[in-house]
Amino acid sequence: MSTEPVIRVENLRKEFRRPKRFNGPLGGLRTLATRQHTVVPAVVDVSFDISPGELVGYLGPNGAGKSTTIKMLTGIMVPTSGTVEVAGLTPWRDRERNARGIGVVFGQRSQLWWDLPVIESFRLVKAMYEIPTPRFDTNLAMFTELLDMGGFMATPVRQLSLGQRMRADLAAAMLYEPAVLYLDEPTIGLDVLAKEAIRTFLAELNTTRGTTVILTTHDMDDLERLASRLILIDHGSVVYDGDLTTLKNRYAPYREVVVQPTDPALAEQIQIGGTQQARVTDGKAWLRFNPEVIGVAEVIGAVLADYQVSDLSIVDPDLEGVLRQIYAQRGNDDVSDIS
Amino acid sequence: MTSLTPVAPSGIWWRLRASAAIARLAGRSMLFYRTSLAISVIVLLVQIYALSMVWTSVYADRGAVPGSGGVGDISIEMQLAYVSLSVVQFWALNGWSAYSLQQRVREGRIGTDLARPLGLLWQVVMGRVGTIAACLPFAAAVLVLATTVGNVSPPAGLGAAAGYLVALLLATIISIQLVVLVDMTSFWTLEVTGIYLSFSLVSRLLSGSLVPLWFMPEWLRVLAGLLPFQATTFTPVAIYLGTLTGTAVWRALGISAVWVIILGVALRLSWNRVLNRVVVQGG
Amino acid sequence: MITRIRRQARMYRVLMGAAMRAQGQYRANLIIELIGAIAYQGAGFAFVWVVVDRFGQIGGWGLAELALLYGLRLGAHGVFTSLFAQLMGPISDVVREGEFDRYLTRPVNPLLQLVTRRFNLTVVGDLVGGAALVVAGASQIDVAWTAPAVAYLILAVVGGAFIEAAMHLTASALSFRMITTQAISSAIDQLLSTLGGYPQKIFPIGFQLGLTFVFPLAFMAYFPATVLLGRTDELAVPGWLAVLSPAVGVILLLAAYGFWRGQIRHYASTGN
Repeated sequence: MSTEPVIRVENLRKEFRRPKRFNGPLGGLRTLATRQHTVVPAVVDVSFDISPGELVGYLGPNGAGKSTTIKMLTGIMVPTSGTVEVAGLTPWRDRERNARGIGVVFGQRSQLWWDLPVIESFRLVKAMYEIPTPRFDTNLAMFTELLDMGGFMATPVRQLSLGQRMRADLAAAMLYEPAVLYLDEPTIGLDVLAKEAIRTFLAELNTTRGTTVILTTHDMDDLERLASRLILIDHGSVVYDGDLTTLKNRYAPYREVVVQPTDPALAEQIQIGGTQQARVTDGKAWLRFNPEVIGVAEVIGAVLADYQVSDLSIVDPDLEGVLRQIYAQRGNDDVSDIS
Repeated sequence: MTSLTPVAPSGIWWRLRASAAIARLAGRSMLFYRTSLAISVIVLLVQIYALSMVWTSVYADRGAVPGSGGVGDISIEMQLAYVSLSVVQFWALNGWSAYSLQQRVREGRIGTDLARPLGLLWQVVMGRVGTIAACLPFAAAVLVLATTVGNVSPPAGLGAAAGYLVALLLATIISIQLVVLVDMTSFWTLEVTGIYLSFSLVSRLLSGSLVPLWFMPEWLRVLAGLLPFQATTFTPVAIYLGTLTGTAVWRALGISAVWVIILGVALRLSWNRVLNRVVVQGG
Repeated sequence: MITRIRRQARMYRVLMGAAMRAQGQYRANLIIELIGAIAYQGAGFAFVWVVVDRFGQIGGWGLAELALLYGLRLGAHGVFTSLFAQLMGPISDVVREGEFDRYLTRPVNPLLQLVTRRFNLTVVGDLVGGAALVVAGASQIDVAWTAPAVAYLILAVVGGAFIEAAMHLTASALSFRMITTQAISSAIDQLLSTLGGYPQKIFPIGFQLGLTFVFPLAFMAYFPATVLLGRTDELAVPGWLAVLSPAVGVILLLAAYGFWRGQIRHYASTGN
C-alpha cells in the first residue's frame, strides 16, 4: 500500500459572507441594500491527510462544518483559502475529472432514477462514467451477489424498501470503482439486518478493494464496526484525529461496573474505595473507576465481599457517551444529537 | 350562491360564516403567490396593449365597422373598450387558482376535505369565490388605468349598467361552474393537462375574450351564442357597451340563466359520481 | 473539442431517453395530452384566423403570411421545449433540495443533467402545431421555396429556440441566488405567447425597438419571417440585422450560458 496520501487537506478555511441583517422598521430594505457583511466562519484551518484504504469516520455536532468540508472535498464548494487534493486533483477546479474517481452516497437522497427499474439506473451510471462493458458486468454481478440485489433488479426504484434502495445506491456508487467513497448517513432508517448488510459490504470494499471511505454518520455502531480512524470537527476546527481506542482512553479513561444488589433500595449506598458512583437507576449502581489505578478484578472482588449482589456487569464507555462528553465540554448547547 | 340542495333554515348562518371563511382563506392564499399575481397583472396589461394595437391596425382609418348579430356599427372606441373589459373580466373570472380540487387530490388532502362538515363541492365553489374576490382589486386597478388612458368609457346608460351587473353575476356563477366541472375531471382521468388545455382554448375562443362575437364568422357566432362560454365574457361587456339592447338583452340573459341551471345539474350529477368513486371505491 | 461535443450529445441522448422512459411509466392517454397541448397554443392563431376572416389582413399581412409567422414562433417554441423544457420548472427547488449538488458530483455537465431530469410529452404538441402552420402557410405564399430558403427557415426556427432558451436560462441562473424564478419563466412564456403572433409593424416604433433590443422577441420569428417574405423594408431596423437572426440566437445563448456558469461559480463560492 502506497504511503502517499490520497486526500490531502491543508489549512482549509471556509468563511461565508452574509449580508448584515438589520432589524427594525426598514430592516428588510436595509438588509437588501447593505454592503456590510458579517463573516461566518464554517471551517477554520482544518488539516488532515488520509491514506489510501483508510476508513475514516468524520464526525461533529450539527453545524460544526462537516458538510461544508465534504462539499469542498467533493468539489461542490470552493474554499476561502487552503488546499485540498484528492488523488492529486483539486476538486473544485478539476470537477469533472475528480467526479470520475469519487462515489457519493447520501442516505436521505437517492441518486437513482426514481421511476425506472434499478438495472436501468446502473446502465445510466455506466453511460455517465463510461465504464467499459466487461468491467461493468463483472462489478454488477459481484455487487448483485454481495448485496443480494437479484430479487429487485427489475423493480422501479420508487417501489423499493429503504434497505433495498440503500444497497442499490451503494452499488451504483461503486460500479465505476472510485478511489474514494463519501458516505453520508448510509444506514439511517434501516432495520438491524439491513444495517448489517451495508456494514459488511463496506468492510468488504475497504479490505478487498482498498477503497478509501469517508463516513459521516450519527450511528455509533457504524463507527465502532467500521472506522479505524475518527476525525472530530467542532466549530469548524479539528478537535480529534486518531483511532477510537485512543479517543476513549483520552476522554473516557474509565470503566464501569454495574452492580444490582439483591435489595434494590441499597443500591445508593454501594461505595467501593477507588471507585466513584457515576449513577444510580432502577436499583442498580454504576461504579466508575480508572483501570490503570485499580483493576477490574479488584473492584468486583470488593463489591462481592461487601454486598449481597444479584447481578453484576462490566461496561466500557461507549462512543456515544464519549462524544457527548466532549461536546458538552466544548460548550455545545445541543448535545442530544451528538454527531 | 346557487345551490340545488335545500338547506335547513337553522343551518344557514353557520353555512354563510363557514363559506365566508373558506372564501377568505382562498383569497389570502392568492396573496401568498403575490409574485405570480403581479406578473399575471403585467401580462394582462401587455395583452390588452397588444390586442388594442391589432384592432387599431385592422380598423386602419375607419371609424366604425359593421358587426354581425344585429349589433350595428362598432366604432373603434367601442372595440378598444371591449378589449379592455373582456380581457380583464376573463382574467378575473378564470384566473389560475391557488385552491383547486386537482391540487388537493395530488396532495392527498382530499380525505380530510371530505371529512369536513361543509360539503366539499361547496368548499371548492367558495374557494373559487375567494380567488375571484382576491383578483377584483387588481382588475379594478387595471380598468381604472384603461379608463385614464381613454380606452374605456362609462356604460351606455343606466339600463346598460343594470344589465351589466346582472350579466356579470350570471357570468361569475357560470365561470365557477365551468372551472369546477373541469377541475373534477381529475377524479376520473389521468389526462388532466390535456383536457384542461383543450378547455382553455375552447373557453378563450368561444367566450369572446379574444374576438367579440360580432366579428366572428357567422357559424362560429351562432355556435358561441348557444354555449355557456359567451355568458362569461361577451354578454356582460356587450350589454355594458350598449351593443345589445332591448329584447336582445333579455334573450342573452335568459340563455345565461338557462345555462346556470344546466351546469348546476351537471355539477350535482358529476359530484355524486365523484363521491361515489372516492368514498365507495376508494378513488 | 469535437469529442467533447459528441460526448455531451451522446450523454444528452442517453439521459433524455431515460427521462422519456420514466414518463412512459405513467400511462395517460398521450393523444389527448397532445391534442390539449396543440389546442392551447392554437388559441392564439385561432384569434388571428378569425380577425383575418373578417378584416382580410393584419398589418398588411395575409392569412398565409401570418400562418408562417405564427408557425415559426410555435416551431421555435416547440424546439425549445423539447430540448430544454425543464428550464421553466422549479429550478430553485432543485438547488435548495440538494439535487443540483448531486449533479456537481457527476462527470457530466450539470445543465445537461438538469434539462434531462424529466420529460413531458406535451412538448411534441408545439412542434407538431408549429410544423403544421409553417407548412400550411408556406404552401400558400407566393415565394419560391428554394433550398436556401428552406435552410434559412430551419435556421430561423433553431435560432428562435436558442433565444427562448437564452431567456429561460438567464432566469434559471438566478435560482442559484435563491431567487424563485418560476414566476419569471412563466412571465417570459406568457409574453412570448401574447406578442409573438403579430407582425410587429402594428406596434409603435418605440415598442418595436423594445421588442428587438430589450426583449428580443423580434429575432425569434418576426425578423426571419420578413426576410423569407421579402418584407424587410417594413422594419424599423436595417434588413441585414433581420437576416442575422439565427446568429443572434447563437450569440444570446452563448452569453446566457456564460452567465449561467458564472452563477454556478458564485453558488460554489457562497453556498446559499
